[in-house]
Parts: sequence; structure tokens; C-alpha cells
Amino acid sequence: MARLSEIDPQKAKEAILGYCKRKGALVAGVADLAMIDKIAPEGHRPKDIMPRVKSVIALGVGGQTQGSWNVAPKALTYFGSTERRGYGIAYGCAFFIENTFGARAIYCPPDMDPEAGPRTPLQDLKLHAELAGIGARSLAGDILLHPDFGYMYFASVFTELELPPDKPLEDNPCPAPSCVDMYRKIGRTPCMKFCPVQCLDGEIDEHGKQKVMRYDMAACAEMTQTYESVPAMLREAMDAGDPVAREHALFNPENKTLWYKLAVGAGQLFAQCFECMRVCPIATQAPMADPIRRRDASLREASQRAASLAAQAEKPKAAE
Amino acid sequence: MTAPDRTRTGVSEEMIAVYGDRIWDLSTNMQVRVGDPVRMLDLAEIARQKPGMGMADYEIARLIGLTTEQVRAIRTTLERRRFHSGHYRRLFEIGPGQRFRQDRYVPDNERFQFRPEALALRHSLNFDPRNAGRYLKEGLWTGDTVSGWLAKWAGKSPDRAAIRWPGGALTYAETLDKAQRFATALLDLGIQKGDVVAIQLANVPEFAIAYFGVTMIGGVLSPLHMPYRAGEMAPLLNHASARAAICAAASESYDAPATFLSLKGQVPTLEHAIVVGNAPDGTLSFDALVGSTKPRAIDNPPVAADPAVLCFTSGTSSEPKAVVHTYQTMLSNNRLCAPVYGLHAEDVLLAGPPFTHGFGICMINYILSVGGANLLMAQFTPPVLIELLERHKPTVFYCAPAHVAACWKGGLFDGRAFPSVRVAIISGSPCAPEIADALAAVLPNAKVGQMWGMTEMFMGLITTNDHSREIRHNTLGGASPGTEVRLTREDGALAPDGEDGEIEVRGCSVFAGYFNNAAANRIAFAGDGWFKTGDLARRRPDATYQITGRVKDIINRGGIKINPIDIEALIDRHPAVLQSAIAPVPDPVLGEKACLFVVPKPGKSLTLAEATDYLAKNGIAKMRWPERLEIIDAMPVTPTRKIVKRDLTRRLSK
Repeated sequence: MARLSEIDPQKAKEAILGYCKRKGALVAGVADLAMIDKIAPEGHRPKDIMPRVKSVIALGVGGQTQGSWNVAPKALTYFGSTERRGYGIAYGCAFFIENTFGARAIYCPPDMDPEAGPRTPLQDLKLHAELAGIGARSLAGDILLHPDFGYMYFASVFTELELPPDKPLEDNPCPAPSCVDMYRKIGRTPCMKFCPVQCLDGEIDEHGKQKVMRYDMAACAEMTQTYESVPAMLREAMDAGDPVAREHALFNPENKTLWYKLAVGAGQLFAQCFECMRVCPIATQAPMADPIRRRDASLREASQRAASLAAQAEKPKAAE
Repeated sequence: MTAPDRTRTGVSEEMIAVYGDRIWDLSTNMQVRVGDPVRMLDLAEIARQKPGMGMADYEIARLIGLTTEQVRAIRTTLERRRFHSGHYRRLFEIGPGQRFRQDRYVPDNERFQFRPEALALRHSLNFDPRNAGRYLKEGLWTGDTVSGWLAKWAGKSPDRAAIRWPGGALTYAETLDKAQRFATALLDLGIQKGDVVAIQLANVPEFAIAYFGVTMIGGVLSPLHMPYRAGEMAPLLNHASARAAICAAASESYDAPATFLSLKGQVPTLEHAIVVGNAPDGTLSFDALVGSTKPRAIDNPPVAADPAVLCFTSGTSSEPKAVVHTYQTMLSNNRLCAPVYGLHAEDVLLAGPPFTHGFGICMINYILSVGGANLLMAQFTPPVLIELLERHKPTVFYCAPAHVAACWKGGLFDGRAFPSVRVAIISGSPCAPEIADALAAVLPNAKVGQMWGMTEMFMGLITTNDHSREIRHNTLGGASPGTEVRLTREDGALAPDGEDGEIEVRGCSVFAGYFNNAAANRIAFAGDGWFKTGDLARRRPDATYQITGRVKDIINRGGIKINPIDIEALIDRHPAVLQSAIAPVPDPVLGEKACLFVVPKPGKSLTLAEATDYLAKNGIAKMRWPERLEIIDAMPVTPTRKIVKRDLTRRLSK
């Protein structure tokens, strides 16, 4: 392994970004750390969690198939979020950097700042992505869009390896021409018009560029961040005037779904009982279900094949 | 929970009130960005826009002169307090390929809610869960609704007649259209699912349209008997919390619109009087509502478990006996009984009972269940009935003994026959065999049978075409499909065959209990879902039933119980008698005595001695003879032409 000083930053960057793409990132780039430090508030700069950080790598993973954008929204909510795929790549990338270049690296936690509450992230991953040139601010709140890859989820990797930074995108794909047309007609873009909680508003200038973006993040959070519904639900149950209302607050289908999601999120699926299958002969005694039997069978098969080949080889001799 | 934090930070409610909004706007909860400064790396512009784009707590703190902890405490408090849960469900209404439309979204607090009165009505549907579970499991209760049936037939056979009357007909498509118009008009008037709409109309097309319209929106139709006037109706309308009432235009004998307008002052919930025909000021015209309203889709249609009708039986004015039927109890009876007689879509039903009675409603549903036509008889007179039978050729005929008796004894059956009728059922009150014989004589293609039912359960005992003539003319047959019948003695034990007992019924069409009348319910139910009907019957060895009287009609003469029904039947056959009834009269010594009431045939007369001689000759024991005779012009009868004996007794006390 080469010393850090001997590593070609450009080649290292190509290797790292190449790793990310091989593992499934649609796009990756390096953000300008100095610029992050100037824009991000104190406590939320990369060095606030990694003191000797030299580079911030941002990567984006795809959202959806074309078909998925047309499914019923309540179904999309189950598979619309793909950020975990990005986090997996970032996690692997941190190991890749350490293994390949011997420089320390971390997968930047995408989590919330426990000190400031759940609406404040530890690090602004979208700022990293924007500065790395893999997305630009849209009219849809804090969502970034890319001209080629559209809507993505982002992850970041911090490393002590110095890498040459990229620049932000030259052009912002938002608003799209059709959105400008719509805005000219009704004063709103599709994202503004169809938002279920009407949390978006804004203006487009005479050149078809973003002029003002207004985003009611609190309203958006009411819609999307169901964790906030949990205490709200409990408070509603505590304040309920009668047992029926209390039971409804805790057990109506929507809230029960929330409990379900919490349980799944905690790794405790409700259906984790296998007693019927533990006593089922088909499940437990299926010949190939047992890995040891599978291996033995495989060995037997190989042995039989070998014997068969040997026998075939013997035949001409016998004929002679 | 927040007290320790506040002790440490010094945050007060006053501080939240003073600084809260500004902190909220400066935080990332509300974000405003001008242009694209980050992408442009315009640090000066980023700094300038910081308050709009969202600041960290410490930045806000510096800007407005609080500590970071204070800003954080206030911000998170407001985030909690301003949080509205439940927005997530907005997604539920967006189908695949659809987008959220704010202009079409109705917030939760603006959505439908049952009124308290409607909820109270629903509480009365407390069926025995074990029995109800069985009806559901066995498919006796289904998802059928009246509007569902109407829509089905309007779709399958739009041009087939649904309603016929001497002046015209309405096809299923036309009936559905008019019902939808009326339903929409009701919604526009503020009538909503669960509301009770009263109706006092004869068997006219508008009754059926109103019934279909009211039930289409999930309303509950409450029919009021035609003879009722304000004094009788006020307590009933109040008991039902009726929101609207539908009535006929004023006639010479009765100004219904004025009556209902006056009732608005006595019934707080009553908002609208809807008049079929000439609608005076203050009322709404049924025709105008139907004619001018464009039908629209019903957002919240009824389901089979919803209450559909609320019918009043007897009871006192302070505690009316209100029978609530769901679509499940009401329609299961029709659905299960129609195949017994092979009813089909080509059938034309002529029903004698008024629609303002449960039996009448039952008949509307009965023919609707097979998509046939309902031939209406607006008002019964013997010539009108004969005209309908002769000219309009019904195939199914349900009537009361009184209908038959009036035609037969009036000589209108003489020389006539009505071959179109293939099913003929007599019901409504005990039927003498000769009445059935008389009807059978003019219906060459029908097997005349009998049915016994009640508003509380519709058709309970029925004869079938498989029964012999003797059974069909002399008994009520056996239990209808989905119904269990038993006879009990006074002590609750089962009465053996051949002995009188009170009819108790249980089944999928039996109501759950009288609405808001606990006293009546305590008496009416024997437990396990058995409803005590108050009718007396006897079971024959062939498992058919014969009505033998009413529990209430038993006369207690010094401890000896006299059931007068067979004596009445005998007296009815006396050559001088048109109609008779025996009712108790108070007696200071014996408690009660029997009084014979007679309506003589024109030009005839009868004395008590002649009556008792006649009974003696026919083998009636002296201890059962009536001890008083009253000659009257006409019997007081119910809308289904049952004699109201309590009115006879009351007449004597006057």
C-alpha cells in the first residue's frame, strides 16, 4: 500500500468514484470541503464529526423504475425510498478507501442530530451532493434533481485522503420546460399543484429559471415524517374522552400500520413464529433443504459422474 | 415533563408567545430561497438569505437575543404543538396513475359524521351476536341493499316496468333516475345518511320513488299510517327525530301539508315538509325536487347493515314501539321467500296492504328482489281491486281477508275469474277457510295460500304450493326460510302439538328490538333472540300452524280464559252478520266479560239471544258465550284491516 503522500489524488478519486458506480451509484463526486465549511452552520460541518477530514465524497442512487411512478401512492410509500442502497455503497466505499489507500474514512451517518431534534440532520447530505455537482436545488423544497438521473437519494463518505473537488452542476434542470409552461398558465408548477399538504410555492423568472422557492417544511414533515405521529397518537390517546376514542387513537388502521412499521423498523416482525413449520415434515425433512445433505448429494453426484466417465473410458478397452 | 427544562432554560409560555413565530420562520421549518445561490457558490448571497433558507438554533439565538437552548426549547415545543397527524391518509385516496387534487380533497373535519340521533338509532341494532353471526355465516344476511337491487334491475332490464298503476307505468331506468334525483335533492336539503324521513302517502308511484330515494342516501324511511293526524304523529316524529316528512297535497278531508307545517313547531328536528302535488308556501314540491334536480353520485351510500326503515306498530304515545329494520333483516326475508313461489322478473305484484305499513314495504322489496313490476292500488275499494285484477292482470296477489271478504260478500266475485294470478296469498289477519275458498274460486290458475307476519319480522309463517288445499286454506303453513318458530305456554314451557301457545320467532328477518323503548323490549324478548309475538297459535301434527288468537285478546272471566277467535269465526258465518268481534268489557265481579260487536249486513239485525242460540246450536259452551251485544256501523281497523279491539273496549267505556 502506498503512503498517502505518494497517492495520486486524481487516480484515487477515479478509483473511489469508480467503486461507487460499480456498486450501484448512478453518480458520484467530490464536494469542496472548504465551501461546505463556509455554508454549513457550526456543529454540522464535516470536521465536527471527523476532525481530520480532507474530502467529502457524495454519491446518488436511483429512485424508481418508470412503472413505480404510476402506482398508487400508498404503495409507493413502501418502496419509494431507496436511500439504504446509497448508505450501503457509502459504507463499502469507506472500507474500500481504507483498504486501498490506507486513509481513514467513514460512512457519514445520515441521521438526525440528537441534540437539536429530529428535524435537524447531523450533516447536510444534500449540500454535499450539490457542491459535488451531482444534483441541483429544485422548486420542490430541499429535493435535488440531476439532469440525467433525476431524483436520487444521497449518501456521503468522509475521508482523510485528499481528493480534488468537483464543481456544482453548471445548469439547474429545474424547472423543466413543461413546468415552466404550466407555471405561465396557472402560476404553479406540478410539484406545487399536486402536493398533498400544499407545502410548496414559488416563482419562475422571465428566463424560465427559479426565482423564489418557498417550502413549508413543517407541513411536509407532518405528511412524511410519521415518527412525529407516534407521540401525537399517544397524546391523542391520553387525551381521549372515553375508552372507545382511546382505543381508536391507538388501534385505528392507520395508526396500527404505524406500529407495524415501527416494529419492522426495530427488526421485530410480528409474524416471526415458525412452530407450524418446525413440526412440518415437508419443511424440515425435504431432502435438499438440509445443507449437509445437499453437500453429500453433490459429492455423491460428482462421484457417480466420475465413475461413469471411468466406466466409459474402460469400455473401449473391454471391446479390444 | 417540560418543567425541569424550563427551570434550566428560563423559557416561559410568555416567551413562546413573544418569540415563537419569529423562531419558527427563521428555522428550517419555513424555507424561502431566492435564485440558486449554493450552486452558484455565491457566499454573500447565501449569507444574506440565511434567515430565509433556514438557520441553526445558535444562529437564531444570536439574531434575536436568546440562548441557543431557549431557541431550541421554543422551536421544538412549537414543532410539537403545531404538528397535525393524519395527513398521511391523504395518500390513501389517490389511486394509481392519479395525482392529489387539493380542490377535490375534503378535510377530515368537513367529512360526513352521523348525527347523534342517527347514532342512537344505530345503537338499537343490538342483535344477539351469536344469532347474527350464524346469519352471516350461513349467507342469510348479505350485502344486499334496496338501492343496490334497484340499480341492478335498472342495469339488467332498464325498459321493464318497475311500477305500474292505472294511469301509467315507470320503467326501472325511469324509476332509478327519479329516485336518484330525489336522493340528490334530499342531500341538497341537508338530509344525510342516518336521518329519518317520514312519509304519509298512499300506494302511489311517488311513495316508491321516495322510498328508493331516501334509502339511496342511507336515510331511514319512517312510514306513518294514513289515518294518523297531528295528535298521533307528533310523538312518533319526535321519537324518530324525523328531519323531513313527505305527504300528499291537501284534500277536502285532510290538509296534510298544513298538518306537517304545524308539526314543525312540535318536532324540533323536523325541517322540511315535502308535498306530492300542490305544495303550499313553506313546503317543498316533491315534483319540483325530482324534476329540477340533476342527479349526482352518492358519496356515502348505505350498506346492508345500516338501518333502512323505522315502522311504528302499537304502543302508547309516550312510548311508541318503533321497529327498525336493517337491509339485512328486511331483504333477507324477501330474498328467501321469493323462490318459494318461483317469483321472477315477468311477475306483476298487486299488494293490498298500504305502503305505510311494514307489510306494504315488504311487498315493494319482494317484487324488487326479482325485478318484477309493482302494480299499485292507491286506495282500496272493492271495484278498484276488481278493476286491477281484471284489466291489469297481476300474476302475484297479496291481500288481507277483508279485501277478499268485501269483494266476495259484495257480490263482485260473481261470474268473474282472474286467470292471470298464479300466486295468491292472504295475510294480515286470521282468515276463515271460506274466505280462502271464495278467492280460490275466482283464481283458476292459482293455489291460494296464507301467510302470517309482523312488522317486527315480515313473513314468518307461509303456506307453499306444495301444501294441500286443506292446509293452504286452513293454516298458515310452516316457518318461512330463515325463520324458527316455537309455541310457548304462559309459564314459558313449550306448548305441545294441539295446544295453544304464544308464537315466538327467531330468525334472520327478526328485528333487534324496539328503538328507545326498554320496557317494551323487556317484555318482547324471551332470551336467545326469541321474539314473543303476542299471537296465539296451535301446531298441527302435520307441523303447520293455525292462529288461535292474540294473547291480549284473551278474556279473563273470573279466572276462566276465553279465547274468542273461533266464536268470532262462527258468528261471522251467521246470515245476518257482515263482521264480528268479541272484546272484553270490565266487570266489577268477574273482572272481565265478553262483549260481542257486530256489523250487520244491510237490512239485517241480530239480538244477543239470537247470537247465543246460534252458538249453542253450533256446540259452543255456555261459559264462552258473550254476555253483551253491541251493534256498530263499522269495525275500527288497522291499515292492514285488522280489527282494533282496544278501540271497541274504549268505545264501551265512553
